[in-house]
Amino acid sequence: MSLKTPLTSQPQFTPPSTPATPDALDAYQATLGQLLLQPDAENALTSAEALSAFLENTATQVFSNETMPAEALAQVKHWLTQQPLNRLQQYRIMVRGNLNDTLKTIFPFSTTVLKTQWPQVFDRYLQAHPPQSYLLFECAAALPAYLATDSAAEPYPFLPELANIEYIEAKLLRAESRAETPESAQAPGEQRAESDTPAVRLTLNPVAQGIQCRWPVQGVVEAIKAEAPAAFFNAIKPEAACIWVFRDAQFKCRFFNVSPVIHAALILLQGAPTPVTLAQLTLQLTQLMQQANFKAHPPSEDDLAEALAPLQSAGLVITTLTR
Amino acid sequence: MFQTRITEIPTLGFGLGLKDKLAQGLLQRGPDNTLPVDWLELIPENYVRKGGNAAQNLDALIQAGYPFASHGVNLSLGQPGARQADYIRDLHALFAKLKPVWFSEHLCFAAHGNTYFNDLLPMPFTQASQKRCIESIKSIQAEFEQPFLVENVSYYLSMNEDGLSETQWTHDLVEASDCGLLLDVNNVFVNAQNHGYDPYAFIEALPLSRVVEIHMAGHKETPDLIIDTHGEPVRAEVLALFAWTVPQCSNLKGVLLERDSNVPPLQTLLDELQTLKTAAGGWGATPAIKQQPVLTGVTTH
Repeated sequence: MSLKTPLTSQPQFTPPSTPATPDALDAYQATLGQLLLQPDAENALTSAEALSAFLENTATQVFSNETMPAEALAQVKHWLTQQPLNRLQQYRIMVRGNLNDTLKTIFPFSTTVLKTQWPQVFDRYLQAHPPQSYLLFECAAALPAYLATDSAAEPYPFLPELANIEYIEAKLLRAESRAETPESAQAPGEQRAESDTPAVRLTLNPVAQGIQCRWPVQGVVEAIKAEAPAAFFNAIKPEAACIWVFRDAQFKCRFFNVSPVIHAALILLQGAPTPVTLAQLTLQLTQLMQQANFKAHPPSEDDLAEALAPLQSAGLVITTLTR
Repeated sequence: MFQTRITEIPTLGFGLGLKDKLAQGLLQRGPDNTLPVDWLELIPENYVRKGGNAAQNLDALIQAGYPFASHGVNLSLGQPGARQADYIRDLHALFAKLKPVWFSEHLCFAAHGNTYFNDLLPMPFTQASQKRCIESIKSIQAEFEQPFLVENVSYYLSMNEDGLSETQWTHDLVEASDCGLLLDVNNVFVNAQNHGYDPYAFIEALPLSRVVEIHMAGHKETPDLIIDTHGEPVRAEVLALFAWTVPQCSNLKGVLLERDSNVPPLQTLLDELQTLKTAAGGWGATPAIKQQPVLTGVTTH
């Protein structure tokens, strides 16, 4: 898959340095950040006394190596305690709202499964993974793995896989697609004789990703769309699936459930430096299945062609005529 | 130096903040083969490291000949984040194809250390914050060839120290860093209401000869606060303030209508732009950059 950022020269930019000892401005910015992001800061905005106590407490936490200097703390308290609490709350609503909206947009099904528990999960996620990127999209990257650790997600063991697929879909929708066409996809240094005759070759859509799931996540999605009762999600049993997600020519993501054999074939196709013929793919697949002790028999060329046909017409597998 | 350079910046006229859902409409030419608006401004965070539909639409808009400006939200002039170098690298990559006439940022902070808040957080108006912004602006100006502007933000917290007013803080900062000013008239109005000052006197005290761009937007009134939402039409009081401001900005090059939420159909925004044009009393009627005409035929030799 080609999802890499284009190579650019290394930045020469050096941001202005911040003071070695935090000054009042650093202290203010770090403290306001805590006040806006931290779940327990909600209580700090209920009264001037609670805010003052929060600021005292935060002073020992905001800088990793040292406690906030007393002079800086006094200045921060002066600045923040004179603000109307509803105005501080307004910033908290905006900062947390941006992040929450982003997560709910990227993970519409996972957040629906969690329903009323989502706000608490959001709080804990934000505490575990404060935003480390100026791109909101990247701030969502850790949620699938995080859900495997959150107690609210325990009744729904399929959630990390469901969230992972949702994130992959979002990632593919915005992926920078490979510039080269399949016809020009030639491995560095590869030589081809002029006498080579053109042949039908296969390559994989460059904006695609395969996932092996232990849970029937597509069934979960259908159940959510059908507004299945909560009890349905507690009763879901493991069911292995190989799912391929890819972006089509209309910039929509499509999903395919495939067999483990076809999944292996698509992985081979994705790893191939240049388009391959069906015969080459069949041979590579046979060798792989023998090495990996697959229980199933390797498919014949005709069987493989038949299995790949719907993926070709959908655009996951691309057919090209190359030497 | 900027004052000399400002005369070389072309007048763009009346533009619109780019939203992806507006892109197709913005590519539709009128009977006289002109595009619907004079120029576009985008938020780079919405386009860097991004392909797909949004990137294709942006390419088409560039190809159509729209002049562009870039308006960032995460440079965090008041406190550069540790990963600001990533942002700068991404801007370079975007600007290589966008070729913005100028680019801008907000006078605020949006990060601290490694943590990004992804919002425009207010600075206390102190000499220390002023100094940090000036250093940031100078670093950024050294990185890019395009003119750089800073925007006055709307804010709900008020922190004045050192006897500095916001206008003095802004005036001295802009002069010392030798950059341009993006004057957000709606922000001035919102702040004036929320903090109780005269918006006209405020604007009068700014270095208006450095104003290159004006932003116009809508806001929402709540019982105890006016909130700068960019989600409503421009209010009549803000339009009046704008009409009074435009003739005083001798080097004004562009007026932009921002709409970031509750985005209506393009025609509604075009009608609102027309209202701004009328209020501007003839300013910007003939933009200096002509959009490229679309090719109507192919000649073969």
